[in-house]
Amino acid sequence: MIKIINKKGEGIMQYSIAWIFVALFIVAIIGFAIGFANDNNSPVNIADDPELMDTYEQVTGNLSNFQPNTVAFLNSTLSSSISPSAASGTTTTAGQYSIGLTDLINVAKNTISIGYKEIFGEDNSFAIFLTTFLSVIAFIFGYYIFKAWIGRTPD
Amino acid sequence: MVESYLYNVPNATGGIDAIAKQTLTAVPSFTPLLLLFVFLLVFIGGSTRQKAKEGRSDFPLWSVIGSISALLISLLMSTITGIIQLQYLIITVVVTIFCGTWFFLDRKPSEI
Repeated sequence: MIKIINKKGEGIMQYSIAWIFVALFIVAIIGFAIGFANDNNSPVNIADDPELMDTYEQVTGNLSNFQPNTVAFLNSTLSSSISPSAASGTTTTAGQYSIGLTDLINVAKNTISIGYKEIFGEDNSFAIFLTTFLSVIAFIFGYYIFKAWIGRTPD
Repeated sequence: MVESYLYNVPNATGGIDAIAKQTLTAVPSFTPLLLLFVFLLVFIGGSTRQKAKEGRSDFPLWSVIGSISALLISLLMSTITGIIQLQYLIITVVVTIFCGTWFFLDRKPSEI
């Protein structure tokens, strides 16, 4: 794993987001299979398997933790400060990079919610998708703000 | 005698689900082999055609498409009693998840 993510931190965002999408994929596949079985009163339902349901609930819990962790990461990056001597040519804080960030995330939220409500309705079981996807955007912004501010990728 | 290895021809008037049930009675491994066939058909067929047209194959992508194809067929089978067992449905879901993991970890590296 150390060889995959090298010393400069390259690939951190790639592998982090890859695993997030793996988790979303698991939730989507299992959630769809359960919904399909319930809608059609299927005699064979994967919800009858306790081990798969445990995995489903655990992965959903992991995804729900991702959103507050991302918010904390983004806020700490924006509120932190460095001495200008530590990296010459940079500003003390990263506040100037956050301009427009909230607006961009809201645009993404409004865009997704158009199709989301039409496809999934008001059902909250798939709401983890919207939350996690917006958190991924914030996560990407956090890394790029760090790189634009400090001039290198996070270690 | 060769005829002793054959089974009675299914009664087609009952619909395709009745044919599947009667086939399953004679050959219990019919369902998993059918799902394996669908997966390999899409996986090998898709990747081979892509290799022929573009010179390279995206194996993770075709594995995801193949496994989702098999999953959709297994979900359709699950609506009828006796065609697919729960463990085969779970194995199909797990294979789909593994193929998805392979797919997402195989994407190109980002800048950061």
